[in-house]
Amino acid sequence: MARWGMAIDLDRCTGCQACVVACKQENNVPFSTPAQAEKGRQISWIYIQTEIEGEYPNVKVRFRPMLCQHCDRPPCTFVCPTSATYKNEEGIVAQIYPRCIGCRYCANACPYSVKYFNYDEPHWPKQLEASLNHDVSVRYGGVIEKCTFCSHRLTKAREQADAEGREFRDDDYQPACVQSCPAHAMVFGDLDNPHGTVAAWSESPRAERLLEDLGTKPKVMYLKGGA
Amino acid sequence: MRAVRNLLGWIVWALLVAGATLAIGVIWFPQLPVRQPLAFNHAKHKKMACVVCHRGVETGAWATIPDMNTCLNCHAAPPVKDATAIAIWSAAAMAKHIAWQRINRIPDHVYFSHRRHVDLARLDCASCHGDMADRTTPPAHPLTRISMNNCLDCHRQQSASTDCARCHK
Repeated sequence: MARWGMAIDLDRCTGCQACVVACKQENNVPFSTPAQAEKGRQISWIYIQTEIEGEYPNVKVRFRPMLCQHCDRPPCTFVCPTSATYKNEEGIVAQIYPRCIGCRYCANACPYSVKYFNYDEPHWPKQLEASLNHDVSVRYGGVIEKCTFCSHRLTKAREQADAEGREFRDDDYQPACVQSCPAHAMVFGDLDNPHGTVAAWSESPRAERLLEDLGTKPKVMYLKGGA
Repeated sequence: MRAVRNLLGWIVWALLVAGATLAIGVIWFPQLPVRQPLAFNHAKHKKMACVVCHRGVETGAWATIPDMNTCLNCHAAPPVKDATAIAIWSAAAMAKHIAWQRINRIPDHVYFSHRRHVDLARLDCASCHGDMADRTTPPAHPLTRISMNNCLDCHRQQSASTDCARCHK
């Protein structure tokens, strides 16, 4: 059984936001309104966090794509009273919307603040309604939503491999953000596959996991400090 | 005063009974009866495989409801004897479209692939759709009740995945 993970090379990331747009498009994440933004209620399953290093005149800005870290010990799943959020056998931290009662315990337990509460019913301009992705549900108001590593793509990729009568390969499945990254700063795959790129990147001395000391064991690795 | 209280009591009872009836109706018949534009006879077409008309079942997630051209592939010539059949054929051929009403629905938060179940798992259509093949008239309601428990029972029997995220999107 695969253990899906992601590695992001921050030295390659240009902060272009292609991953953010791709994620919103793929996962039917609605646009936030100015009123929502004012209240800090924007929803973006992945966003670019800017980090400023150094002091003038030697200032450097780093862009860090922030998404669910799909922890191996996810604090959000421990506090969910309805098992709406859980880690599946492939390490993906899933969110089952019809089970979610919107208590927001998980959002508060998440040390990365990447679980989002739907305060409002989603809304799109009429012209964009036709572009909604039918493989992903449109979440209604009052539930928590989050990055799923585009697990619907995994379901479809596995089915396609079966239909073609062949073994499922790691590279059959990529989340939308990874696929859209023009700088190839993101790689995705099975962390337990020693020949895979993501396993190699995650073992690099440049690799770090966010807030690792909390014991969450995130499966998103960030690489930085290269030449 | 007593008459008013009696009347109020009756109204409350009537509302309770109406509410209970409505609740039972919603539980047993979660959708309104469906009326099809044609009294299609499945039993007469039984010799053909379901996928001849319901295309896409073996190649994708969705099953399709046949359009007029699919019917005309076999019924190119108008019927000659039965007056009702002639009237139906003429009307349908003129319209070039049959407004079939969808009868089986799954919730928006469920991903269901026909290809996975029909083509790969070799499941019989009747497992979920019931005995449609022997129907002489279109049913007003689905012949079987598709519930998550039914899905899970089958998945457990077939050792298929019971991971929530495999089916819930």
